[in-house]
Amino acid sequence: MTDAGFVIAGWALTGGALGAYTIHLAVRLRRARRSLPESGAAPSR
Amino acid sequence: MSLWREAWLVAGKDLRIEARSRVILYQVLPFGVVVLLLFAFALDPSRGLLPRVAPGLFWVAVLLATLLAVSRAFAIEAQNAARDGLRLSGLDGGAVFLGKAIAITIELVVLEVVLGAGVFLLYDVEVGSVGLLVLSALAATAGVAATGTLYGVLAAGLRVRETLVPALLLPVVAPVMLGATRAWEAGLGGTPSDGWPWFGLLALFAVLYTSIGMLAFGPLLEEA
Amino acid sequence: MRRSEPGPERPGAKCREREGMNRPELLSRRFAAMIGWLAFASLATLAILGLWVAPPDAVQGDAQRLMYVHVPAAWLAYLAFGVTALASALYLWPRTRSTVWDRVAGASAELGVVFTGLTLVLGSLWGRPVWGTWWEWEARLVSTAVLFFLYVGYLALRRIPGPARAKRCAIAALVAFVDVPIVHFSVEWWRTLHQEATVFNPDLDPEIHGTMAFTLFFGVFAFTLVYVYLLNRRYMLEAMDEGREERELEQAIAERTRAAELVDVAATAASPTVGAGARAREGDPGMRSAR
Repeated sequence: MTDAGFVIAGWALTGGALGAYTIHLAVRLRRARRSLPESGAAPSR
Repeated sequence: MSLWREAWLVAGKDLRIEARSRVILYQVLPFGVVVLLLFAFALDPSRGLLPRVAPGLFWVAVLLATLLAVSRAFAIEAQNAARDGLRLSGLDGGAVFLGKAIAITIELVVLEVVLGAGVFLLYDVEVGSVGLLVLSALAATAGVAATGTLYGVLAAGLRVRETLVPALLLPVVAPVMLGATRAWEAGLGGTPSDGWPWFGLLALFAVLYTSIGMLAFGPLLEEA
Repeated sequence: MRRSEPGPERPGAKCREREGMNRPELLSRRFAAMIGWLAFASLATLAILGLWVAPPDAVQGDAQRLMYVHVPAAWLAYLAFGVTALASALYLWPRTRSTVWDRVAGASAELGVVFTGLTLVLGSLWGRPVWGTWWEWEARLVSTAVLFFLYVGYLALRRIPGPARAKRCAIAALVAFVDVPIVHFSVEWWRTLHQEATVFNPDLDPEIHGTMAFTLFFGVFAFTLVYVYLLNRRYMLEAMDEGREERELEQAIAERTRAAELVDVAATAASPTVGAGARAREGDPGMRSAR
């Protein structure tokens, strides 16, 4: 792999990691929000 | 000096339990020796590698045994509501911490004597400076026992205690592992003057974590 | 500035009665969204600056462009762990004790672990073309790896519910934080004692100035924005999860009590506290020894 390859891999990884973490948080937040009793959904069971 | 008297009470209690149950003697000590044997299998004694890496192997074995000793020290408090007894005893939290750490230190020192003899016999090492070896071992043991006691009470009462304590403890005692190994390298065959700064680091670590433990133990014991 | 952001207008609307002690988010919704977009935009700008505008390094050529993400990630890892330690200390201090600090500590530690992991991987990717190896037993690498595992342990502790979870986590965070300089110095000492020539260390290359220095500082700025945005998000999640745990516990207790009452009515004497008491007492079935 050339230098440029490593650089691109590193930057892509940074973007990917930050993006994946953000999405992960968003998914968990939405799930948590949906289980709130105010939001209309069935309160757990 | 009532702090020390209280600490000795707790240490005496733990050591008496050990003297009667012999868990460290019959379970942890053989474990340590077997670890030394396993290292020899892994590194093939005929290649002459063992004497050179003996200090590191010794301290890895000691650290692994420490995990068991810490786990044991808090297992005895988990039975028969012993922790409630300790909490209601009116003993100072710092003294209880000191007592438990002293008991673990004494147990580990006995273990280190046996393992040290094992290293000497099995790994064919030369002893350079006995003073450096003994002092750095004492400082390292005190530091490891203090951190172990602190994390032991931190995880006490949690169901995952046995698996949690190693995950928490091993990264924290990484500097002890490093310092003790370097000090022992200097004490065994190396130049002893290289080892004394590491002894200083080990002593600093022990003092620091003993103080933190004495401060934090009381509140943690109350909640556990 | 980011943590003490006063939130008089909190559109969260729920749990208004527990305000102050139990705020559901750190930043107002509008401010958080603004930070989010700003962070995204500055990351995009950073990519342009770092990949095209900044000139290639005289020694390392293009490989040096990894510095613009590696160094900010490392900086943020330290910032995050510093915030964790600060928040933990504030939690332990009786006057400032608040679940807010507990959540900040947890949220920041998780971000710190993410950024430390990123730092390690990026360093490895950078080391391969420059040093020729993926890993070098160099002081900074080793202490960063230990740091990573220190806080992975802390996160493991956080996951476990139990009595006084916040307090034990706060103490664990401080214990880990005290260890950081010790690890750092011991490892540094170890490596410099053993190998005379330390590895070529590009982080502190005195040659960098001009566009390169600006890009680096911009990278730190962009990553800090990302940190603030994600910290707020992670905090919200922590607050919601806590609320849910509480509600589920209350619900379970209510169900238990109702069942016990029914039994009480049907039969004569049944104590509703037996179940809870047995659960609370920590059993230790594995280790039964003599005396």
